[in-house]
Amino acid sequence: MVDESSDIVDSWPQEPIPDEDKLFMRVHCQWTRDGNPIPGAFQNRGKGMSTDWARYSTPTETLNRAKKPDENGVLKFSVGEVRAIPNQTVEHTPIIINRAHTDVSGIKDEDVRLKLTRICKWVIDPP
Amino acid sequence: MLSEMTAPSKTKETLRRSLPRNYWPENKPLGSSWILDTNVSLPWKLIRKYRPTIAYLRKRNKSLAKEMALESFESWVNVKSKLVRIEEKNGDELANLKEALASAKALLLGLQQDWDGEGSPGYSEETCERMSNFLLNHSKQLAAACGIEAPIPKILPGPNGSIDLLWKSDDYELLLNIPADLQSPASFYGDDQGNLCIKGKLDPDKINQGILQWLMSHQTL
Repeated sequence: MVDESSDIVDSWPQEPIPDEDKLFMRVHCQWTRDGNPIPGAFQNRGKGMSTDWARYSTPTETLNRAKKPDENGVLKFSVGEVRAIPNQTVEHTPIIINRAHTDVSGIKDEDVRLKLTRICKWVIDPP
Repeated sequence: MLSEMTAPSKTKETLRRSLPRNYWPENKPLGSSWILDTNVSLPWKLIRKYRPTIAYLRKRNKSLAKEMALESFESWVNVKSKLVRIEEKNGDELANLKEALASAKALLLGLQQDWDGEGSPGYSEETCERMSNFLLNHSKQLAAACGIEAPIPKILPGPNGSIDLLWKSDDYELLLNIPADLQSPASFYGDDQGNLCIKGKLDPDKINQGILQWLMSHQTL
């Protein structure tokens, strides 16, 4: 809901995310080896694995939400490919400070983590 | 690959150990550990009849393996008319693994609470030790039983203070997670990015035959 009188956002509406859309996810450089993300990078924190819906975020904006942006890179996923991994759901979960916020929920066991490493691509390389 | 196929020089620093009569690994790596057949002077076809020798030298390029096999064996003196495994006494078959473990431990233990800015915890000595023992025990088992140097995985930080072990080749990946909770089992998943996959849990404090089989079949040739 948007408070039109003051332009202050109470909350953003939750929207369905099409399979064709993209997600961005920042990854600390210690979660990489030889320039590739490692399986440990893909884990749930809270409700799920935090990502940003590309409709409302750029890779740079995603990067700048890190505590230390200069130590992170940004990965891109196809929503449809994420949903094709067993037991993974993609749900738009906007928060006041980030309309793009999206959770990838579902257990991140070895199967899932390994498959996530295979479907992502860097859009901003880590240092 | 030729250097891998060169027989180690024979010195006084060798041990000899008899193998069970019917024992033979399907895949035997070339390296510091060798199995000899006393009938080395026999023509190739006859050597093949004595399965142990040819199995040892089996490579994807069979013709090259055959040629090198004969050359290599000619430099050895037969001991007895039975299989004998000869190991270099001073050669530590686990040296590469120990080096990788030391390096990985230093990295993991250097990661403190919130090292990634996302709240990730650090890694404990106990988890590192459990992981280290798992790898060393399985590698020792392979070296002792089959003379195989097990492939060394990437030793990686895992979620929530756990440690990931990742074996990766062109056609296969296996990910095994050693949890931070010392009472919890390890879990693993591997596939060929096609039809075959394995998945399960195991006690990392015990030798697991399934993992041994997998390591044996994915040794570096």
